[in-house]
Amino acid sequence: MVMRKLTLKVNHELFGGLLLIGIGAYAYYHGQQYAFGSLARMGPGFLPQVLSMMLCTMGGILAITSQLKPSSAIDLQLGQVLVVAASMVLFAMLLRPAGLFTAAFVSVVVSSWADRQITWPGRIVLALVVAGLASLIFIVGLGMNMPLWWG
Amino acid sequence: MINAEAFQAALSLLGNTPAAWLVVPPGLIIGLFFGSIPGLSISIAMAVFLPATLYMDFLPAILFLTAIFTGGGFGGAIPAIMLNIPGTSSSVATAFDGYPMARRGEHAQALGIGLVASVLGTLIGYLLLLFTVQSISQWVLRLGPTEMLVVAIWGVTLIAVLNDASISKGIAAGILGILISTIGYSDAGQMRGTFGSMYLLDGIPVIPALIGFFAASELFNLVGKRYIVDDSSLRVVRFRNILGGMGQAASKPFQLLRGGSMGAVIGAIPGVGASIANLAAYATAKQRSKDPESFGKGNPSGLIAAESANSSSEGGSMITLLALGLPGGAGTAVLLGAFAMHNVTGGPRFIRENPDIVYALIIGNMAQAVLLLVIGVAFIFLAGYIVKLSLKLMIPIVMVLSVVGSYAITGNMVGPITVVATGIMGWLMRRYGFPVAATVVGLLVGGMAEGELVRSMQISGGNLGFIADRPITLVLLALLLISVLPRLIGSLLKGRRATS
Repeated sequence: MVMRKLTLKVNHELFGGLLLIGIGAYAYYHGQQYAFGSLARMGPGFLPQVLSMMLCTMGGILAITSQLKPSSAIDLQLGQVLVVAASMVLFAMLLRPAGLFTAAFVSVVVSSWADRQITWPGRIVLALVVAGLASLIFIVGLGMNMPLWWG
Repeated sequence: MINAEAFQAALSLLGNTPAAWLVVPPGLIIGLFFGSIPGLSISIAMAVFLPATLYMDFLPAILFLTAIFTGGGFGGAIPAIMLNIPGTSSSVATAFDGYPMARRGEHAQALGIGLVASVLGTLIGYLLLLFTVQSISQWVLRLGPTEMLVVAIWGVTLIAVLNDASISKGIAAGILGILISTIGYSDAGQMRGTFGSMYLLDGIPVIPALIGFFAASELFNLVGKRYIVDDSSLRVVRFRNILGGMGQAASKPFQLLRGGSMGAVIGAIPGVGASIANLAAYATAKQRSKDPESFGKGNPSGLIAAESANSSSEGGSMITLLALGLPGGAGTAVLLGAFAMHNVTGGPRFIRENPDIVYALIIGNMAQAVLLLVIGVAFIFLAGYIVKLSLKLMIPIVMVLSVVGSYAITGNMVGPITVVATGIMGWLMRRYGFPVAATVVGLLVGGMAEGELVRSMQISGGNLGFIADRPITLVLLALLLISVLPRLIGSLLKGRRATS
């Protein structure tokens, strides 16, 4: 029992704390290229450097307290999130060259990969409905200056 | 208490701005929609529709967004009553008595009660705002840079500390937000943290970041999730029963008033909003009742307290937003984003210089509440179908809205990329229990706080002892400590118990 308590288990609280320390340290390092100034005449580097130090402190507290309580692993569904994130970027990239309808259609089809239960006909219908609704709202409704189709 | 001249001006301003009235019904419907679909929240709706206000004037823009706010307040009650699934986090206590009523077959009455409580609650909140805004702003005008700095720190701290997350997580989230706000040109005109990219010269674009933190992060959270909505929810709704419920609520003015005023006061405190108001008012109503046993078994009084409080908290949170320029939660954070988009800085100066606009906002919101009564009844008839609308359809719609909106704001890929980046960051934060709202508020008030910090240190010549000569600062600092201490002690005690 004693042995087990001594081993450092990497739990997500510890990871979060270390990540905060990392971000804080990097921001501090980066902030050093700006003048710190004095209390009376604060330079642009003052606030970023003070905040980074505070962030490191909070990260340290989190990392230490993480060792005091048991924690459960969190199931991150990163794959699904990346699919949706990628389809959003794809949508934005297609918006100008391909038009709103096309871009919405393609990105909804891509994003539906995150849904394992959807069928191909369902996918196409969903994409058509969303693309149609988006075109109606933005181009017909709000009169946005945006191409609808390719070309 | 009320500036009569400005009140008159506000009425004529509203009369001469038909656009302000045109945008209210769609806003209410959008709010009802997003509120009533479990999994989507009011802040998602407000964030993704924020870019739609780009071409509106300031007054219609704010009225449109507050209409979403108001509509969403009642929308959340619909699935809470019909399915025992709160549509938003602010209708948790609504389900306690609303669902038992629905199980008795009194769902139409319950919805009628909820609607009247929401409408009157909103009215109470804005009435309080109407009577206090003038005097509060006069008081706030006396605050100098040091006081404003403490107020800003207080606001961020409260939002960071008053939630389920641990205190260190909350504070870290707030600091992260302020740190992000330092990117771009500083007050002194020097570039910071741009990593040589010209796209970051103006800093992180605030509106896309808001959409990312509030909407996209929730979107990522919802992917692959499914809310089970059973078919028995599609029950018949009779108009007569809705009216009966409305009458039932109206016959308990004291209950409405107590819930409403509690909600308004709670709403004015940064960090606690509609969700806390909803639960606290319910608990009070139960405590004060002669028959506390009947609560949770379908007592209309519980429903009245819960729904009037979460609606009136909107008006309360507007006090803090207008007087101090400080958002107390996600909804008002989006409103502050809209202020920034229209080059309006909230705060006492805004109230003094534009009292007509402020009063027009208040009157407009009260009219909105009355309008909700009509639109809400119509919505109740459709609610059975709308609650069943699959998230499968809503997720891609929210996705399209947030990309097109952010693209329209920046005019290039910077907007959508910011949405995706902050969305992933917000999603990770949510999964690991960091309060995203603290980061957003830090990002929004960071620039103001830094300016006040630099100014107060210039005045004092860098001497920290200078605050000893500023009594208001000391009082505010004491208030800050007092408001945070209980939570701090509580978490320390809990930590000790966990280790022993």
